[in-house]
This record gives sequence, structure tokens and C-alpha cells, in this order.
Amino acid sequence: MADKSILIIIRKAPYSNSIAKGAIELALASSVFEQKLSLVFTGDGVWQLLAQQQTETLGDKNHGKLLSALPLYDLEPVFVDEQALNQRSIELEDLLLQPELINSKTIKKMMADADTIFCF
Amino acid sequence: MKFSLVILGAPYSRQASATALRFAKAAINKDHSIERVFFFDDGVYNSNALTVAPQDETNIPEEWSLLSTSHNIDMIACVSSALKRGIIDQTEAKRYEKEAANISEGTEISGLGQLVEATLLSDRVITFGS
Repeated sequence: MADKSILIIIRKAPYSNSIAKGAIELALASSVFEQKLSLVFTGDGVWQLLAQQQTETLGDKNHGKLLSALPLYDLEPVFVDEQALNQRSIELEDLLLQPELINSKTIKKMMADADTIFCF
Repeated sequence: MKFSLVILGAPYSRQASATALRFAKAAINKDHSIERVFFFDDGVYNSNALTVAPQDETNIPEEWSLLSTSHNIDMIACVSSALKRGIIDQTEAKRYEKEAANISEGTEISGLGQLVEATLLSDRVITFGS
């Protein structure tokens, strides 16, 4: 099988859309195949990275805990769109996983360089 | 060219799966091949064999089945998406003590690894729906 670089772009907030979880599960599944994988959080997807997620009353699993598994699978660093954070007044220190800040120009380059892009 | 398709939309709720179906047929007609179709998230409703369409509308899950059996195309419904949406095969029906199985002919229930593998085996992966 060919080696491929895979880019997963995450645009959906957690809890409101089931694909938010699906996208992270796909990233975890990819790690088994030892391919180059990058994760970019943009748009409402940046809400997934908030460190203070409390789901006790929601009856749903804590999405932050799922994200915490990423470093265990060597899926780090993850990337976050600086503009998406600014638009939502979210500070970098409020986020899980110590993501690397990138701008739209870098995202564009990552998209150009990737063999396969999944955009959820 | 070898394509794999990811379907995220449920039939009838979203245009995604009808478009994907047309794309698959067009690709095959032009001598391309479909390596795998992966039903993910609400897309797993495309593999519900109990779907009944009105007489003047296309039965989309049935069309996927026909495409799979007539062109020998591998079709997978994501296990974690499928089970919670009530799409199950005989094995899962037995395991969870359900009265019936409803997975369409030609589609198998399996994990996300199958989507990653399809990515590695295909020239292009196209996602339908968001």
C-alpha cells in the first residue's frame, strides 16, 4: 500500500453534531496505518479543543477526553486556525493539547500538500 | 482511476447520497473503478434494507445494493455509526439479542480502519455530505 499524507479538517462543534466525534475516531484509526496525518481545527471546530468541558448533565461522553487520546497515538501537534479562535474570543491557553497556531495561508499550503483531505 | 466514496448524508434528508450514487455510476460508465464505498455517520441509513420509497421515487439503499452486487463493489457501513442508528447485520443482531437484521445486501459492517485502508488503495477519495 502506498504511503499517503492525510489531512483532517475539523469544522464542527462538539455535542451538536455526531461527526465531531467521528472525525477524531477516524484520526485515531489512521494512526494504526502509520501514515502522515495532520489535524486542523477551524471554524466552529475550535470549540472541540476547550479544556473546560463538563458533560455530567448532558448524558454524553466528554469530548475532551477523546481528544486527550490523540498524543497517546502520536498524533501531535494538532493545528488550530488563529482567525477562528480570534473570531470566537478563545484564548490559546484555554485549549487542550497545546495546539500549534496557524493561519489560513498555512492551511491552504497543507491542503495543497496533502494526498487526501477529509473535511468534517 | 480508482475512487473511494465517503457518504455522510442520510438518503432523502440530504442530496449527498443521491449525488454520490450518480457519481459512482458515471465513473463506472467511464471505465473508472470504485474501490470502496464507506457509509459514515448518518450515511449508514443508505444501507437500511427496510427502506421503502414511494413508487415514483428512487429507492436509494436498493440502488446501492444493486450497484454493489452488479459491479462487485465493496461497501462498508461504519460500525459505531451503524449500531446506534439501528443498522445491524446477523452477527450484531445475535450479539445484542435483536429480533432482526436489516443491513442491505452488498454492505458489510466494519470499522473506520476500512476507510483509512480505502484511502491508501485509491487514487481519489471523495466525500459526499457534510
